[in-house]
Amino acid sequence: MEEKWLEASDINVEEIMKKIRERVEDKKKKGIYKEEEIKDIENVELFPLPDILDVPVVYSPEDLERGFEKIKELSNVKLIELEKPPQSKLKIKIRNFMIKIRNKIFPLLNFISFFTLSELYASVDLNKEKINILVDKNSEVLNLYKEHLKILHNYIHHITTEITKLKIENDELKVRLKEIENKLGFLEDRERTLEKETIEKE
Amino acid sequence: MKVHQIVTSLTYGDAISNETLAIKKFLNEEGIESEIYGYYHHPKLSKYFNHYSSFLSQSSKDDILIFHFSIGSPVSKTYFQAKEKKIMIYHNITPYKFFENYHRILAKECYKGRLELEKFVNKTDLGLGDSEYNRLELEELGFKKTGVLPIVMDFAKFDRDGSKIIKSLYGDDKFNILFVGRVIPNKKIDELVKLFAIYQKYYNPNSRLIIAGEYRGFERYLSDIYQIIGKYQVKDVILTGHISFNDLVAFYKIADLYISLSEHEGFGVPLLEAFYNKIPVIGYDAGAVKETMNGGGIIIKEKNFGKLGALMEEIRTDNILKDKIIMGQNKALEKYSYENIKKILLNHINNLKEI
Repeated sequence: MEEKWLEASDINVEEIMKKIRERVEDKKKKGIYKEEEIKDIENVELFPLPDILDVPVVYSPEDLERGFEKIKELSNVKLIELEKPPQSKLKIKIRNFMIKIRNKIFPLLNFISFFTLSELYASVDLNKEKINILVDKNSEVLNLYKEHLKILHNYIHHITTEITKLKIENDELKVRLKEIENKLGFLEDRERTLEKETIEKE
Repeated sequence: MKVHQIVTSLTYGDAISNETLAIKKFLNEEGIESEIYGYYHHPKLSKYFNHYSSFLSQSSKDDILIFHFSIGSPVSKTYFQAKEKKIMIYHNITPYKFFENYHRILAKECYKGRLELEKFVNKTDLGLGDSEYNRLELEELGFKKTGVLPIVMDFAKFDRDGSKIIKSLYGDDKFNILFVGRVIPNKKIDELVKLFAIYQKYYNPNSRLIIAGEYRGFERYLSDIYQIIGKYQVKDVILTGHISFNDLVAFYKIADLYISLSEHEGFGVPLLEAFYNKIPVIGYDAGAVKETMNGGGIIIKEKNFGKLGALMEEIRTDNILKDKIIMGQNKALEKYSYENIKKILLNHINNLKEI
């Protein structure tokens, strides 16, 4: 099995393999060489920097421009409300008192309402109708709110995209900085060697 | 009969341009008229260069045209329209999967390059790979007639001293381990650093890893390499970036061992340069590495860094073993002699002439 690991035509492969085995065993015996540590380095996972091309830009600046105009429109519109009948203070007090009584006799009311369910449904339908009228009347405002939400989504998306791009650019710049550091180190060494040689010649 | 060549660019010092010039020289020596046409060129090579737009007007079916394939070349169209018998030389395209996580645009280019290559299948009379590995790729793509033409190696350019500064800086008593090539994912520089971390920790603290090659454009991969260096506190890892040829020669002169853990090589010029500079070479068996090493050096079949560290130490301490490896490498270089490659090229041309 091991012989297949290495191939060379002008040398004794078996002899070299034996020497390699001996070296490895020797290191293991002395406790210098741990198979786990080797495997750990061999199998270290790479985490490539994300690619800036992976960050798509879904919304165009034109979309944003349109969004600004919608927001301006929104600031000029007011919600239309259904007319409410005026209520006197005495009426409110009586109402609150009645609510307290109702709460006390609630189990009984439940029992009674079981036999008057149809009337309750009718009342729900009436409320539904009222709500629909309200929605119709405010459709323009609701549509503007929808637009508003879309614009907010746009902004959040743009901000996330830009922050992601900045992070990627930052990481890439760090690598370039490292490259420059290395080059600078190399050039300094080179300069020192040249200086030394020049002084020696003089 | 004339044998012309068409390339995308004829630049100074790169392997394809060197080969183009060498082929012209081979042909001229045999009395065959040969010109180089291309898209752009280095001013130093102006006397050898003709713009490709002037080629079609003198195209003749009695001649042969050699095209050096490169991705997205504007000269491909001229090659398709030419009346000559056609030879395409394929220097390989790195599989796109190596760049997926690091360079999306290059991954796309490599993917497109493979598709582009398919267009040449029916337009080419002879597809030449610079290794058997590349030839097999052409055959799999459907090229009917294929062959091998190894890269022409100009070893004479290493017969000089190289940069004195580099020698003073790194030519100390440290054991210098060298790798030459771009810092790109398929070259597995990250694994090389891991291996060195193990070697330095368990075998020889007085050692240095020199990675001589360009890394610009691959900052995201470089960041991974820095992560490993930082995590295991690996010292003396030198990432040179782009270097001059004079510096490269010096790095070869001070190197004690050359290691390649690359997982894709269409040929492997630096392996042979290391052979020529008498540096013992260890290469991982992937792509055309084994074929390029031609029986020289040591081939490893598995990346077991513990054992590999022991092998490196064995080479460092056993001079007889080192000499044997170098002797084997010198023998392996014979395949790449000027005369041998000239003979192979002329054979291909004569065979094509007879079709």
